[in-house]
Amino acid sequence: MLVPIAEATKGEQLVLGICEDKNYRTIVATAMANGHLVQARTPMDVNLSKQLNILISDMGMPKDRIIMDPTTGALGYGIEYGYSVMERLRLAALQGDAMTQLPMIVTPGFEAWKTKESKVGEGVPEAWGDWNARAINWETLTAIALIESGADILVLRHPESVRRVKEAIEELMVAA
Amino acid sequence: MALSGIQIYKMLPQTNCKECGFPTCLAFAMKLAAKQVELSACPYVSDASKKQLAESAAPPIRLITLKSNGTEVKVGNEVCMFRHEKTFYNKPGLFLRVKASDPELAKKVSEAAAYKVNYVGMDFTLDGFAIEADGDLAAAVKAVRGVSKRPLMLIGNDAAVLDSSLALLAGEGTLVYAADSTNYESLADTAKKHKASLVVKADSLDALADLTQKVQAKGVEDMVLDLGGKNMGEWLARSTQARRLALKSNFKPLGYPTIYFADTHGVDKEAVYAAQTIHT
Repeated sequence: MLVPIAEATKGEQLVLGICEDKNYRTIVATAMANGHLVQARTPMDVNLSKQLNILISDMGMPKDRIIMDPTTGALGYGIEYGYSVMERLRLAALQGDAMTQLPMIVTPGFEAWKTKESKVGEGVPEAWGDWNARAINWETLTAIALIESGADILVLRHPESVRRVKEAIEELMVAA
Repeated sequence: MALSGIQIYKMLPQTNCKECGFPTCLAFAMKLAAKQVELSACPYVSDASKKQLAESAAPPIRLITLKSNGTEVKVGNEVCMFRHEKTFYNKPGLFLRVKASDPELAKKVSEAAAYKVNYVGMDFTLDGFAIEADGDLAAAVKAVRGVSKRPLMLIGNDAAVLDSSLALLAGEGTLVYAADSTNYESLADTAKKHKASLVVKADSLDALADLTQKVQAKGVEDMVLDLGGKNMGEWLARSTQARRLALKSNFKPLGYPTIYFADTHGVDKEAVYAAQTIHT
């Protein structure tokens, strides 16, 4: 499916994904042929990230068309591991490790909305509070944590989360 | 700054008496530098060296303990910038801000104190209450103490008012908010008298470092920093710089934990600000 899409949108620059170590060849080949970018996903590990970046760039893909997806967990579901991996990738990049010097994309929307806290409105403890408020907070908090650890692109789901995260990004980008 | 083995060796008796359990003083010094033994294992070390070594061993970010009759909140004592370098030791404390003038104060605090969420076998609760002195603070402290035993923070700038309220909390470790360049002398005196911790507030890191030294000269050691900052970016920069100076350069005037009022931006943004200040 990605191949005909890549061909039909030739001339635009899409991010094609998800490239993982099993399937990256086809996606990278069509992205290269049609001028697109790729999302390179590896499971929360600095070395696996580097390795996939190397494999993809070895196929001839320019590095400015690869976006790393180091994978993340939602708040309360392993976010600290994803967070640390992202910090380490960013620190390695700043110290000159060329194969980590790529922007990072993460999917807090997808992760947060998988959790029981976001998905379930009934039969949960009363102390969890209002479902809607909780679900949006879950997504927003996951996203903010990932921004602080170096995310460049965040994929969100709820429009209210998008609004809140955008405001936060604007505040963070104000010149000192 | 943590001393190297050689630097420590120079402060030891250098007699190689072996009573510490190591073959030479140098071997013992190396173990000390790696924090694998206690200095007390050496029976002959001089008092001057002891003092100097104790200072170098002091945590770069001071441990602040807020306690009441029963529970306590510990913050600070951190040794690294990033979680993957070692670990973070103390969880941030979460306090609920209430107003002394609120006629429903006792009811609100009682409900908040009862609030808990069980998450994989752990009960999460609020750590304490911050009472704003916009009314009769002493009466508010009594009302809160009637329904909750959690640690308290008192928000006010009148030393006499704080003094009489802190007198009601004898034996507890309370946090006082906040000393700035205009009132630090009286607030430091009050904090010292009641063994309270004191928040120090200024609008730049330079001014803050200056103020913590002045407060320390007044005899208060336990401080918490309010970094100010008008947006998330500014707060992030100050917080990172303060922590880096404390950890990497052992800059003591900023070697304290920080406090942030996430509630001042409205309900929507409260969690956003709390998330940022916890993560950085």
